[in-house]
Amino acid sequence: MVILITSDNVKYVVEKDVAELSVLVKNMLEDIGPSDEPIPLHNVTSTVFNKVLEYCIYHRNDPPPSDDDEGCASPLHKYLASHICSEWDQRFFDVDQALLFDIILAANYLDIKTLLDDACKAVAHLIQGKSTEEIRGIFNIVNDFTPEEEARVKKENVSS
Amino acid sequence: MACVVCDKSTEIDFHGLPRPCSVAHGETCSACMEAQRLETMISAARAQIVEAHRGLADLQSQYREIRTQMNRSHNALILKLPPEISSYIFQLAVPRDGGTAQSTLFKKVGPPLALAAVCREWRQLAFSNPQLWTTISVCLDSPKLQNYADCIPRWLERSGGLPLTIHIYESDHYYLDTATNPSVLTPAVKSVVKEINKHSSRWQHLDVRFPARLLSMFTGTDASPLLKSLRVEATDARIFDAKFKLKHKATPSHVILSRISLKNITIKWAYVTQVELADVYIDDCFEFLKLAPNLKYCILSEVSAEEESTPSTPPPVIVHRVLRDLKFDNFDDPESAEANQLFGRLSCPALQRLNINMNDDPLPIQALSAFIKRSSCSLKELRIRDSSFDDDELIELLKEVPTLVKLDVLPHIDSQHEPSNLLRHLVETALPVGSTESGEESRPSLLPNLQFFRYLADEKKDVPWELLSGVFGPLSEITNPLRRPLHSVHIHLSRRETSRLPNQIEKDVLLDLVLLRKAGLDFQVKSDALSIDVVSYFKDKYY
Repeated sequence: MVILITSDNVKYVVEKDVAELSVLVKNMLEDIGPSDEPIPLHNVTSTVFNKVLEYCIYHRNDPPPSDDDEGCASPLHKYLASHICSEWDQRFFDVDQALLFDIILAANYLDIKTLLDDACKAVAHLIQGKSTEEIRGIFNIVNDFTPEEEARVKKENVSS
Repeated sequence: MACVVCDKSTEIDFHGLPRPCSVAHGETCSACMEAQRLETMISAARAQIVEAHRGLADLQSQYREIRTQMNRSHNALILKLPPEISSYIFQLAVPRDGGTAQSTLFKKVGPPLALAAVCREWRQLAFSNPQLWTTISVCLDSPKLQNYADCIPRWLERSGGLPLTIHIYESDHYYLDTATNPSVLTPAVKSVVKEINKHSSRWQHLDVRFPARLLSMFTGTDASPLLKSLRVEATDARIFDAKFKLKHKATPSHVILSRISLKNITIKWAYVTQVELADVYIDDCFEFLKLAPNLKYCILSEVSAEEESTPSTPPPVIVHRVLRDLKFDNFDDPESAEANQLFGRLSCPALQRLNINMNDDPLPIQALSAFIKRSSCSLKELRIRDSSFDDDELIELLKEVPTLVKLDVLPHIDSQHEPSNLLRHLVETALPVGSTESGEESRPSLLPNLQFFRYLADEKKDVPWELLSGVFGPLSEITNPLRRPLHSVHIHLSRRETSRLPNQIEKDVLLDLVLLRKAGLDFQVKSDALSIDVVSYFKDKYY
């Protein structure tokens, strides 16, 4: 078992194989060797870590992601890789935007590639197929173009 | 100055009147004095308006600034995430390649531009992400082509030096016939092709589908293209005139050609591993097989012969030692002449999968049988579709392919073909003759390695249920290692306009079929029209 402490001082006792889905934790465990010392996770709160842990437990037996050479992957493979998420994953990422971005940051910090990929896909899914106005609404963004920029944007988009 | 309400000019001409006047005993009249007073007031008001405009512009500028700041506060994608992750999300949000002729430019072009139109920071992020701009798709008969033409240089510039995926096509419902209408070669068309040509060294996937005359405009530059896949299709009726000659020979591994003669295209065939040739001369097929020694996967469809082509001496056999998959789609050739010619001259020792669609015409069984013998290949999969054939001849052909693991026989719906003969042979040879005595080396005499069998039956005719129940061999011998390893049989009952249920299954036969399933064998009889599994249907309904 591995002891992890989040930035808000919540202690988690986690099975080693689950904890080692994080490359950061895995490297730290290798560095410190056998020890009962808790590992601090400075950039992750317990709220976010609960979600990260839930993901890692569910995906603990998944095959490791392949270091696929972008140039070699077939278009279909790339398409599938960028689109397919299980129903469980879809439910898992059905959270408010703030938490979703926090999960991305945590996955990036903890170096959990599959979680980072899946969470990024979840954000991309919010954008896909949406118009500019819809995207602004989803992300609470306002139009801040100058009239000249606005004219240029309109001219570009007249093509579409 | 324009009125802020109606936008009309509110200028008053102060000139033209001699002022001040001196009509009242050398003094200015009261009207002139009033005019002077009003002129002063108007000038002052104008100055106020100019000042107000300036103030308004300043406020608007501040408002825009504060909106940018609002976005910085709200925009988590930019605010919270490192730029490389935001860029990655943008890449995931823009659909990958997969273009079809039906795709509109919007579907391809729209997403990156939609991202770039959200706000200043998203625009900056989108423009600084070359990956978003590597796919370009242009419909050459679009009414907005001039807009696209203007847009393409900047689009390509944003893609940096990355490899490009390019689709250029005409719409399905618009026939761009340059022969009868030369005006289609508009400046916009020329401009698009010229711009695409400039970047030929970055073409990775190029897909061009339009009339022959326009194809010849694609020449590329002297730089070597890194082309991996190429699709060239001449869409007009005057086939084989099209020319696609690049200045620098490309080395694609995947090639799709339609209505274009081999001599009119310049690529290095030795690099090609997958090819689809459609609407092509049979001689070009042979020539191609000679030119592409590394070919593994080949589809030939709508093959025809040149009218003047009458060889005086029998042509030599062409041996292709690498080809593994061959698919032949016949087209409107009741004599099966091209199929006979192809299989009569070819030898493919490495062939593993053969797929023949005769499109209602007779299967050239003699030529096929000779081809398989000549090739001495270990054919694993054979698919015969939409063909008419003689049952006995088919069985003789199947005897030539003992290596077969998967067999699909999908006769043409009007061929009146009955499965009974073939099934009876499979039943009779499910076990080797005298297997119990002859020991390990004894094998079934027909298709000893067959594992998967699929057949398309005419639902108008009765299903030979008794034969089907025996096709795996006797139930008591299912675990016999000498049995043909058949474990999957799918029978599809062809769809007719008026569908009916097949003939009922006798109780004891049905019991056998159910037991086969229980033994783990994959046995299905499906009525495509009624969308039912027939065995389950009869089991539930009658027993």
